[in-house]
Parts: sequence; C-alpha cells; structure tokens
Amino acid sequence: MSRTEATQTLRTRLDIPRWSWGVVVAVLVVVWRWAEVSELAASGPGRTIALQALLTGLLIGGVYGLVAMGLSLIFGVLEIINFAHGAFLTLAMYVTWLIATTTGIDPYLTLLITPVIMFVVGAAVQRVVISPAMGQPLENQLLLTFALAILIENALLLVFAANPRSVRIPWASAAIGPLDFPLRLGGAIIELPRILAFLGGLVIAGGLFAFLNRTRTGTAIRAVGLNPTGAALVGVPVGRIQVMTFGIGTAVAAAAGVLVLPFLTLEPTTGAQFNILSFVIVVLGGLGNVGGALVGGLLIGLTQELGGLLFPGQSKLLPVFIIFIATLFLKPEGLFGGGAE
Amino acid sequence: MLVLDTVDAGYDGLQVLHQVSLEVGTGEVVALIGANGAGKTTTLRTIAGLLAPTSGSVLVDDEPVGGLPGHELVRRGVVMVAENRELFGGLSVRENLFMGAFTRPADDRRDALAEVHDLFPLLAERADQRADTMSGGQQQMLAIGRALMARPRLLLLDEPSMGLAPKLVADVFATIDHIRELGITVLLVEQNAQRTLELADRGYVIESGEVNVSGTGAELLDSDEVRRAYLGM
Repeated sequence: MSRTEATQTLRTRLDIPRWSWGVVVAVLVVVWRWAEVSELAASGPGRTIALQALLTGLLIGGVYGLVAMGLSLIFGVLEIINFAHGAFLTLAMYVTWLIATTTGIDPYLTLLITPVIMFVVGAAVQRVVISPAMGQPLENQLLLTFALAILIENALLLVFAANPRSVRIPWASAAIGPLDFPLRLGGAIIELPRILAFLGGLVIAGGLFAFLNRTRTGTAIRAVGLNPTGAALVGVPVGRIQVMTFGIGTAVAAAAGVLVLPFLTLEPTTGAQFNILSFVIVVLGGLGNVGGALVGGLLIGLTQELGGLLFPGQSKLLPVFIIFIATLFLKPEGLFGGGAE
Repeated sequence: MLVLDTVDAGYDGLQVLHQVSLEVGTGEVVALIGANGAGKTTTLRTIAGLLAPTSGSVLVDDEPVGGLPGHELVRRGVVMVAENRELFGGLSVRENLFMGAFTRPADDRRDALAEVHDLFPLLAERADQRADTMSGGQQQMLAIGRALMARPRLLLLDEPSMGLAPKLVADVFATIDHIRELGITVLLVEQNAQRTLELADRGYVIESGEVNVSGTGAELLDSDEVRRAYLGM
C-alpha cells in the first residue's frame, strides 16, 4: 500500500539532506590526501602512528568535551558568550601548580580544592562584572569577557612570567596491578595522566549531567535557562541561580585544567587553545546543548589528531576549522540542536 | 490580605498605572476588568514583584512588598499565572510542576502534587510529556497547576481564558470556582467581563491606568457604565 501511495505524489525535486554534503567533503578530503591516507593504512609504522593519533585524540577529546560543557552551560543559561573561559582554565592550572609546588601534595588532590576556588572566582565575576551587563546587547557582555580574558592572561604573565612550568607525577610510570604504565597498545604509547584526564572528564561530565537533571537546583538552572520570567514566577531566585551557573561553568573548566596539567606545559597562554576549541565544540554540539558539547569534544579531539596526520606540517587547528566552517554552512544549529535541556 | 495604595508603575519612563488603589480580602474572588492596554497586566506584574512601583505602596498581610523580587512574593504566598503562561517549554510536565513547588519543603510537594493531579487528572497522565508539545488548553491547565504547587494564599490569574475554545473557557471558570473552594484568594484579570463578574465577589474597573469604579460583581454587571463600555450593551 505504502508503495502506491508514494508513487501518487509526483516528486520533481531530489531532496538531499544537507548533512550529506559533509560526507562529500570528507570523501574529497580523503581523496585529496590520498598519499597520506594510503601511507598510514598500508605500512606497519603508519598504522601505529594512526592508532597513536586515534587514542591521543579520543583521550584529549574527553577533556575538550568537559571544558566545552562548562562554556555551553553558561551560554545556555545566561546567554553569555564567555571569552574568558580559557583564561579561567589557565588560572586554575596556576592555582593547582602553586598548591602542588608549595605544599607538595599530589596535583590530582587539588581536584578537591581548585574547582572550589574557581567556583568562587566565577561566581564573583558574574555577580560583580557581568550581571550589571545582563539584558544589554550581546556585544557588551562579549567585550566584557574578552577584556577579562586579556586581564587574567596579563596578570598571570606579570606574576609568573612567561616561563613554562609543569608538575611531575612520580607514579605516572609504574606498574599498577597487571598494567604497566605508560601503557603500550599495538605500538602506541598511552601515558597514565592522559587516561586519568579522559576518565576524570567523563566522571565529572556524568556528575554534571546528574546534577542538572536529577536535583532541584539543577532543574532550577535549566528552568532559568529556558524561561527566566517563568522561573521568577515559581519563586526561583533567578539572579542567584545565574551567579551559581557561572560558578559551576568555571569550576568545570578548572577541573579540566587540573586534569591536563600533568601532561601539558603551563604558560599564561595555555588556555587560549582550549578557548578556541571550546567555541568550535559548542557550535558543533549545538549552542547551549551540554550533552552535545561532550560528544563534540570527542569529535574535535579526534579531528585534531587524525587531521594532523592528513595535513602534515600544518597547524592541528586547520582540520578543526574546516569542521567548524562546514558545521556553520551545513548544520548551523549544531549536530544535536541547541537548547539548555 | 492585599492592599494597593495609590500605586504608580510603568516601564522605562512610560507610566502605565496612575494612583491605583484596590483591596483584596482573604477568601475573596476579586475581578479586575478593563479594555486592552488599560493596565490590567501591569497591575498584576507589580503585585507579583516582576515590576517595582515607582510610588505608592503594595501591602501583603499589612507588610510592604513593593520592590521585592518575584521569588520573595512566592515565599509570601502570592503566585501569578501569567497571560502567556511562562511555562518551561523544554521541561516535562512533571518537572514544571516540580519547579512550581520550588519554595516548598519536599513533603509538602507530595501533597500539593496529589491535589493538583486531583484537579487536573490529565497532568498525571502526561507527566513525561514536554510542556511545549501540549495544546493551549492543556498548557493553561499546567500553568494553573504549577502555580498551585506553590501552595498560594493569593493567586493572581492573568487572562486565563485567553485564546481558548469556548468549551475550555467554561472549564477554566469552573476551575477558578474550585480554587475558591480550596480557600485560595483570587485576583482575576479578564477581558471576558460578563462571565468574570458573574463569578467574582467584587470587581474593579481599570481604565487608562486608573481605577475609578468598583463594586460587587452584581453591581458592576448592572452599572450602565460597565455595560456600555465593556459588555457592549
């Protein structure tokens, strides 16, 4: 029956879904970069390099996802594009570095300290700096957060100078149970801190989800994001929820900062790349879509590392921006749509 | 329970309310009727704390509340159902009702939910449906249900029959009657003056931001002024 029904309507246009152009672009890139692709696929060392890139991209993608979730949450609830998100992440890394080097405690233990400090910092920024600009044109808030980013970066430069710093994790290269770290998998090497960053990112992301979806305060945050007037009408203190949301978004970035510190060198500009990538991820996952940000983070992590192999000698950001521009053209609402649900 | 004494209010330099005074006693259903743009919604927004009066005083239980934020009014038992309902579209019916009881302790919430489900059984059936996928009449039910979840003592209803089919309008007025029986005081804003005045104990007529005429529902229905201006007779 359905066949006859379908033939009754004359279709003079072939409806190609717009995302299919994404597949076309992907195929074109593979053909264009066939030399690199075949080399990676054919030879043994090539396959090892590809596997290494796959694992590195996936693991760092979990952290990217976490950072972007914080940014997406702030956008979804406050409708503020927070350009200082990466700077907050850098600040958190310095806080962690300072605590770890002065007290000698394990950097991972600062997961209990740094995000709390950064929650207070973020909440204070919303309360003092941003909330007076709420309801003003978007570019006012944008410039404010941009200025804040420059301020934080230069303050860090003033205090810590441009010297690269790092923390050491003495137990990163050791045998833990049956596993020998760094882990070797088919020739690829996976460092323990990267695994911990990925797992930690997923756990914190899961915690944030549970908080937003299962608790009274979390539901109130979503309610404020969907309808501030409606939230005020049911007795939600909207201003306080907004302050809290900015604090949570910042604390999430701070947690990511703690997780990446053991395998990155720290400079006042370290957060900048996270900032850029987070924006791409938030657009890819859908503005204000916190779950989409996590998936987007994994995709961008993979794109960055695998794309780096296809365009050797180029910035790893090149393939990321190709994806970014393609998203804006083909699916501007993001892969999973927007909304603070 | 509620007293407005010579209240001025408005938006961004545009004054809408001029010296508005009115009173609502405990247990009453009071109607505020008037034409489009007369200031009915502005009056309710001022009472609900969404708008601060520029002069005059708003008293709830003899305490001044003018200028307090909206959530403080909810804590004092003053809850508003807005004209455009202001639901949380992306949240489920259950979550909308849950948020309605935001200011209430958890055990209170369960009792309130049982009462609301009693009044609107449909909201129990549709607990998992997203609010923005419901019909207009169902959304109005949800908006009133959400307000009742806060256990209000004074319910402010802004044009609850707006945009609803005649059958549903009758349902809304039956619901208001039921809310009165629950012992909740109601201040009702409506354009449907005939029906509203039949239901209300007392009423006020607002015209260009001024309240000049008041009386019992029956008195207003009989007054020539009201009949001519608002009932089209």
